[in-house]
Amino acid sequence: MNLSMLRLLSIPVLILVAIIAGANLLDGAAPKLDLDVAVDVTPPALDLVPRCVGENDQTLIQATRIQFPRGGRVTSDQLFNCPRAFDQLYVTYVGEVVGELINRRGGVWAQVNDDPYALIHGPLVGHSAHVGFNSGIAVWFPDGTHEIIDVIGRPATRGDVVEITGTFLRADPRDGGGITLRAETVTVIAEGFTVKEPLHTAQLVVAVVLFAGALGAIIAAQSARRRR
Amino acid sequence: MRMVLRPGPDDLKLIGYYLGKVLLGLGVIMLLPAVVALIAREWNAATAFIIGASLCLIMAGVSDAKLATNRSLTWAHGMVIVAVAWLVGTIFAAVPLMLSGRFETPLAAIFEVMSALTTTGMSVIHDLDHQPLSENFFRHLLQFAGGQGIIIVVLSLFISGGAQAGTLYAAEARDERILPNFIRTARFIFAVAGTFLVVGTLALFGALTLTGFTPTRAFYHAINLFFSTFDTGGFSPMQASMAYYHSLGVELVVMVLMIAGTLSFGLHFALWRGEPRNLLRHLETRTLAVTSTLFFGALAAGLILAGTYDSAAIVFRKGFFTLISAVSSTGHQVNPGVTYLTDWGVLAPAAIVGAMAIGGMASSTAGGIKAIRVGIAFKALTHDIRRILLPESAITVTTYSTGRRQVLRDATARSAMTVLLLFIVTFLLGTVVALLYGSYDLTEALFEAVSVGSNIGISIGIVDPLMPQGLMLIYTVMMWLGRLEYVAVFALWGYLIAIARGRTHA
Amino acid sequence: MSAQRDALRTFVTERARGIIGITLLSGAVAATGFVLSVLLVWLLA
Repeated sequence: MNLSMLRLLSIPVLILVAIIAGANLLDGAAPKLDLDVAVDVTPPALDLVPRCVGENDQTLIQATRIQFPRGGRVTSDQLFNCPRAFDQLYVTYVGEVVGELINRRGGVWAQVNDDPYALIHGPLVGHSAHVGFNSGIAVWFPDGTHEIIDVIGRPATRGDVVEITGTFLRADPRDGGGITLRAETVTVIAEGFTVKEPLHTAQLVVAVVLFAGALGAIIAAQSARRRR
Repeated sequence: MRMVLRPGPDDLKLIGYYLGKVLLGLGVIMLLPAVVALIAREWNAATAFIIGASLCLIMAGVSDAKLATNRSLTWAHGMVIVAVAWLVGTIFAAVPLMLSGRFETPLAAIFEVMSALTTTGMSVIHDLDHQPLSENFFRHLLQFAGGQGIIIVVLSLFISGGAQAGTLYAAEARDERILPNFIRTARFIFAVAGTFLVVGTLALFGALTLTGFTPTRAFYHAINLFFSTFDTGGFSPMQASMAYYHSLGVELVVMVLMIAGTLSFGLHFALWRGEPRNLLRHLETRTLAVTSTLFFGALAAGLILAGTYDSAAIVFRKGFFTLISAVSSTGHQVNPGVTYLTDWGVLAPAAIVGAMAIGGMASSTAGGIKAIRVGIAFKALTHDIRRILLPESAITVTTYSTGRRQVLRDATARSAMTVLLLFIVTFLLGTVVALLYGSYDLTEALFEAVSVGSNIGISIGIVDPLMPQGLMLIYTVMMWLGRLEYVAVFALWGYLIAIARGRTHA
Repeated sequence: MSAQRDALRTFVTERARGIIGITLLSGAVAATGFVLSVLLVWLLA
């Protein structure tokens, strides 16, 4: 390969590397909050729920069902690890209400998450703990049990954290077979709040500069066109 | 026709010129979420998108000013541009996401954008349920851009570059009936996408409002879902994916859009012109129909035998939706991925893997390019079997329909089978790499590899914001390969080797 | 004027055919799926 080709190829490569490095730097310089919003929750009733494989793990499933105290707390991870172990059991579930309340006849659907964003750190704008996906289950709030919920999780808002007792269904026929929790009692144990995301001033400056650059580049291209 | 490649600086500049045009499009696209961010007062997101758009526009302007040329493209240029445009476009489009603070590393942002543009739909974002509206809109918009954009890019480059070359595309799905002229074809594609955009978003909006959503939220979900569904992408505004909506109506509209999105434009054309019989006779339709039925049979049997679901209504709502999602390569889920392992037994997930493999190989987001490959391979197989069974003097001819009756030629059959083979090799390699990490079992590894390599997007749980970066990199490459169907990537590879070996143009 | 009306008619007809066609096709596909579901549940459950 000769030198002029190498030089030509290196330009775009260097540009791309610079862009990635620059973005990374700028992101690192973002102002960080460190909110203390952890919610006090009872630990789950069972320490460990290993993954089962459908009906091929009957011993595990039966053992878990026998061990589990009625009304004990479960987490969404445990429920997904072995849905059959909890099917139709009366459980306690704690989580943040996110998204919206979906109004139906006789009740309301809502997604209730119990991941670390819900119970420990709050929404990602308020901190920088990267702890993975959201995790939660769908809850059916019948006959006005949802009315106690005020704040719903949205961008930069942590919704009310509720403690729900109810029946867990692995294949709820009223939800076309979905995994749901049919709530019976609902209490708000931590109120929702909105995080005021601090403005990233360095990023604003870069944006203004680059925008000016873009306008300049477009003008330069137009005049080059006219010259041609 | 043999291409003798001896690329020189002029070729690089030509490629750069066209890349600039792609970046121009991308820059304009990034202005949309910037506007949404300003309206929603998501200031940091707004500046992030302005940075991304400005970078694209700067490159576009410089390239137009410095690299403009009237030289025409050859087939080789076209392929290289397509392959490189994906990479370069992905990196530029990933800038706003790198600035969002929701991605573990710059590679994760690149993975997300590659997943968006290739209409895969796997996500590695932290805390999606609290993501700013403009950023979420951007992710979905990218699926529309990637799905529709690739058609435009490929078509324009091929038509201008000379489709006489015996490319895999031309050999497989020569359907000149659609519209011999590029501009008319592009206009038709825009018309189809535009029609479905209006009707589809309205239908989703209607279904969502009827099912308990407020009008503003219904619109937010509807527009995002349309972008990710019609282009068989698979992103959704909430982590719970399609299960979030608890609505048969929404699921049915989404199913219609998935089917609409998976049919090639040739088939849409047949419908528009009032010639539905062409659609029903088309090898692509028949292939999809037969494979879907077979795999759904296996999936349903698996669900019933494992005791997962025992009512026909539920087997349909959960099983059939998932199957269509797999075969259309969309990737919307009505179940959390991990429950495929922990509640669906063994046969049902296997059926999904098979459906995904077919979906990757036979369903289109890029205008029918992949559409008939599996059908051709099957026809080739039956052709060979007939040839073996009949007396030596007999002449066997196999035909198939792609809008008009075509004879199965050896070159076509071989190219179809080669690409099929390449897909399978990629699936296996992807599986092995995941297994080497030690914390995944065979079902998970195979499932995820097929889903990623076929640009489906149904995840069994390996793809995760905290997954190993090395595996994330491999999956990113697999998504890139899958979307480009190897042709463009090989052209790029050959081009780079020719550069390395070649001499300069004086 | 009449040319415009013809163009509009073609515009609407083509799109209507497209939407209706896809919806009918999807309906057929869904119906097949549902029938298969019923059949298999009856056979295997």
